[in-house]
Amino acid sequence: MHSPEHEERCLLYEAGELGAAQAAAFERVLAGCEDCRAFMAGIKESHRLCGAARLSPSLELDERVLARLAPSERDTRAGLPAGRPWRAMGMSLAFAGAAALVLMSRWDFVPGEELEWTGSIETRIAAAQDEMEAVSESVAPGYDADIEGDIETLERSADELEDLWRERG
Amino acid sequence: MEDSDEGLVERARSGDTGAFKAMIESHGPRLYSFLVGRLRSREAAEDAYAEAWMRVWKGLPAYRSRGKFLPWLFTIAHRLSLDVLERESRRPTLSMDAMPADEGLAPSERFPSGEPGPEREAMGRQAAARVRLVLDALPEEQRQVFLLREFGGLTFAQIADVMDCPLSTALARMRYAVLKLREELEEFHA
Repeated sequence: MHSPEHEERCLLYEAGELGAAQAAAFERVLAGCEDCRAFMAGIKESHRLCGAARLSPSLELDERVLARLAPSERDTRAGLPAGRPWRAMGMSLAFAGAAALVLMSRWDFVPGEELEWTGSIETRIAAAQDEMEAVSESVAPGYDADIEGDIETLERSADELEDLWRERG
Repeated sequence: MEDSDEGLVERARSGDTGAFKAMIESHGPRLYSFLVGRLRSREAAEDAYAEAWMRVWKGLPAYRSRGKFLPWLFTIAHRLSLDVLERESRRPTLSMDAMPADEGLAPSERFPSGEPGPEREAMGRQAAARVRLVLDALPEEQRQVFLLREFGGLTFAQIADVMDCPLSTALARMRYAVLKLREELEEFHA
């Protein structure tokens, strides 16, 4: 007796998704069910016709894909993780520098107090850094800036910090 | 995915673009055919194809499922195609109905025929064009299942997982699609 369930069994059988016992049982059904065999033939015809309808991407398209990998490959060759982690490290350093700059500009410097404020300011820098990273991630997820830009920001921050130290010192 | 392919995935994970290129060569035609079938626009399929491989490349460091590369690849492609279709639904689309079977195809995109010979080749092209038309006319869910099975090579359990539906639903959709193809393409049956 042919039924939709039999046809679904045909699909699973043909896809190799029946267990050994189930497959053996279905083979017995198949032997006595002409409509099941016709449906099975229909599945095989679908494979054949879809094989004929399969398209290949052009070589240019594949080359386009591979060309887009180049910047990430450069990061990997340098022995660093590809893409984001390296960029994130640069951004973190830049943010840390900027946060330090902000905190320094607000702090009324008194010589001899270094030991007292060191622990506190480190904690505040770390908190500011975490906050800046969270803001950066929520504002621009997947932001793909060039690492050179991050490094420039970091260098600028360092220069400004140095100038400030000079002014105060 | 075969064990040998898994080696390519491992190499690509560590940044080996040669291995990644081999993966593209191996699975590119399946992926491209799937996307053309899903998006019904060569241009949209090409963009989605490039984007899908970029997502794979970026996602490889986090890829952990050994032996499940194809389902992963086609899950990416499936989701990507849903996004594209969502965007495209807001503007007129280019239908494969309007695209002559062979017009503008590069030599590498011509349909392979089983055996050499102009008649056989013409027959193959004609059948391929008809297959695409029939697929185009299938209800969306049936077409998705059919393409994931025929071009993606996914099992029905994997298809049910990708489409977030019960196995019985995936099977029923495939059954209707096979019956429709059989009915519409009877003249091309071997």
